[in-house]
Amino acid sequence: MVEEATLVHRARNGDPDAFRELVERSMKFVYRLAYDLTGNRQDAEDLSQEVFLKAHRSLPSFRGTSKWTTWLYRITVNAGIDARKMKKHIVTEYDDDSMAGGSGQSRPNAPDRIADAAMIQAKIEHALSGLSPNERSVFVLRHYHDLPLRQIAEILDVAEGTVKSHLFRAIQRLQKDLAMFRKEYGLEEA
Amino acid sequence: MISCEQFRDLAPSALYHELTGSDLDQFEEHRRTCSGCSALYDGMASTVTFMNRRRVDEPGDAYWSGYADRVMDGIRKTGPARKVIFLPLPQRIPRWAYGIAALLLIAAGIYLGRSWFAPGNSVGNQAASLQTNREAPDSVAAMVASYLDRSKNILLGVVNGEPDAYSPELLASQQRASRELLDRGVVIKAALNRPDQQQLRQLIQSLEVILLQLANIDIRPGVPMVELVKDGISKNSILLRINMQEMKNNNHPVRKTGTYHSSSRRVPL
Repeated sequence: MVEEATLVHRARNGDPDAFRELVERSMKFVYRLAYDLTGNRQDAEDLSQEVFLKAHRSLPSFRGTSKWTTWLYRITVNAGIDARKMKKHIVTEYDDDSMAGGSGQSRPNAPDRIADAAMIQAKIEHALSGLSPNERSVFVLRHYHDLPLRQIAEILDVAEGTVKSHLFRAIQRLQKDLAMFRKEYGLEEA
Repeated sequence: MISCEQFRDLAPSALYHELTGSDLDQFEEHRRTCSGCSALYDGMASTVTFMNRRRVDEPGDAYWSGYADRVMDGIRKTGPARKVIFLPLPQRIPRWAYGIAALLLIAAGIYLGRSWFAPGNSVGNQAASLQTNREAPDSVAAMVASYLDRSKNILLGVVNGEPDAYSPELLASQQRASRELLDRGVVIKAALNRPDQQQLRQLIQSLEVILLQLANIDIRPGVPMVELVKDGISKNSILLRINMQEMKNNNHPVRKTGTYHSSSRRVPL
């Protein structure tokens, strides 16, 4: 298997096959991160493809001092934040009524009626959508992508202490939003 | 023993098993002796465990089998990556040269400022002629599209560039482009005189601030000047606003502007 650095070098020199190989190697984790940042499949598909277009466009500025995957994580997070802002803007501008439904997702019902997995899923997505873009990025990178805090700091280009405080606040907010599951699933009160 | 505040600082690392050695010992000791912090930590731990119930909606194999083709097709439609042209510069540039370069930049800034804002200046006249020329809305729209597209490319390069790899050559290339766009921005702003173009004018003003910063920064070890520019891009949502403007323009490409084209519009994949 050709090394990643070699492929990146070839891609930077305009080799489409090399870039294609890089896409194939990283498409699933980019999609997964896009899903974690957007919370639905359609947006994740759009975002992940947009990430590769942006990556291709920005290839000349990629100097290879960090790993290709780290760089892609950074592009995905930035694109996710932009997409979220844009979506929020569009919803605010053109569809104020839809805000009441939490971006079209299921609205929370009374705790005793939320029992099945689908409703838990909807509630978790709703809780994630309540995080700030930075909080959400840090939480999903640490929790769902198992990246160490130091690497997250590198990806987001911030201090590790900042990552820790984002993560702390993210978990506190999630805990508060998911408080209705406190009794059923043993969540403590935030 | 650590304080409750220190405990909270360490809690995220402890949750994900990133604490070791004396930090971990002190953390555990505090947890044993402080019921409030212990409850706080237990709550966070159970929340994190609960988040594992989340499921990801994965596309099937059919989606993945054509994925790379769709991406490559999108790339072909949007055109090749823009190559950064590096000028041959000496390997080691002495520190004093940066100082002189900074002085020259300031002098150039003063000169350009006086040229732009002095009454009867050439750029102003050029702008005025555009402003009064009602026969050329297409050229204004094309200038705006090109201005936004080029600005976006530069800013993407800044935002997605690696912090440690910012070379003088790359910066010089971005600075040249920024200065050129600053020149164009003055002309374009003057031509955007309708009330419905106010938002676009404001976007160009915001862009000018960022481009001016970029055009005048200097790379020095330990001083993250590029980070200030990145911060400005992020705080002002510049890329988002450019995208919004491009979306708006793409909704009415021909009716309003005739020959409007944008190479960075969304490509259906």
